[in-house]
Amino acid sequence: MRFILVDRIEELKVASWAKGVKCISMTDEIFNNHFPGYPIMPGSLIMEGLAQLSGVLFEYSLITLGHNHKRPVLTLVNKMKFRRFAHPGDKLDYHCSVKLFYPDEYAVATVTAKCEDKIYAEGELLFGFADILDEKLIKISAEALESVLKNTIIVASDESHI
Amino acid sequence: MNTTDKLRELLVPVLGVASIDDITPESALVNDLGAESIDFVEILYLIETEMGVKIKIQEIAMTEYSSDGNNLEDGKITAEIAEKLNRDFKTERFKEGLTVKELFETFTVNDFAVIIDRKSEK
Repeated sequence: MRFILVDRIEELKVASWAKGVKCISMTDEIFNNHFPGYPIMPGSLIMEGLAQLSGVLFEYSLITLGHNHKRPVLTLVNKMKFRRFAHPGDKLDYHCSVKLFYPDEYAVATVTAKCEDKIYAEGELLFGFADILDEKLIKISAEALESVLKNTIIVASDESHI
Repeated sequence: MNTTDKLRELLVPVLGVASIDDITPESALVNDLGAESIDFVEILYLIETEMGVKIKIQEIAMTEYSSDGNNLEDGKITAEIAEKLNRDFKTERFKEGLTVKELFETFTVNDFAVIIDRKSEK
């Protein structure tokens, strides 16, 4: 499986918020075992998708604001709650809202996963920033970031919060 | 509760020690308690949310005392800076010749409390 757990990042506002989508499909091999005859999306993978969305937001924000290209690393999961089971066919709307952002140190995001306006998961994720020491790896990271944001609407900083 | 004790309480779950008694005011976060750089993110966040004081990682790394080239000789702190550190942190453990890395690795719970108190007074 490809460890990309958010299907599309729809909109992003630098250092503020990001919106993404995850469509849960019965073709996902995870449902062979989770659970046989009763497919539910593991909460840990929903959380990872929310972390990936937040990571992209912070990484893009660092670069856009003129800081060194660093890798956001999940360091703490706080108050994460999984409120409903997500099944194949569900379209989860992921939202990440920046609570704290210190580009030289760390960042905190408040995240939610909703389906038809009902909250499926919510919590708070803390990230540290790891240096990318190799020039080649910086280039690869920049390309990966560009590809993941290819269809994303970047909202200008003077537009209001959605 | 004073700052040192409040800090010791906050550090228990972060550093995964069994009891608050394992954390003394003289314990060095890195050398004695095994804190990794990744732990400091959580520690600084907890201090900000629980105690309302924003501390920078540079302050823990003591860059204020070591970033100026005049404070160092061959990457080691001068006698003058050691004296200033002892004065600022009300201790006698800082000695001339400590490296920047050693400053960070020997940073104690008490040192941390001094920085928090200094910041919250401002």
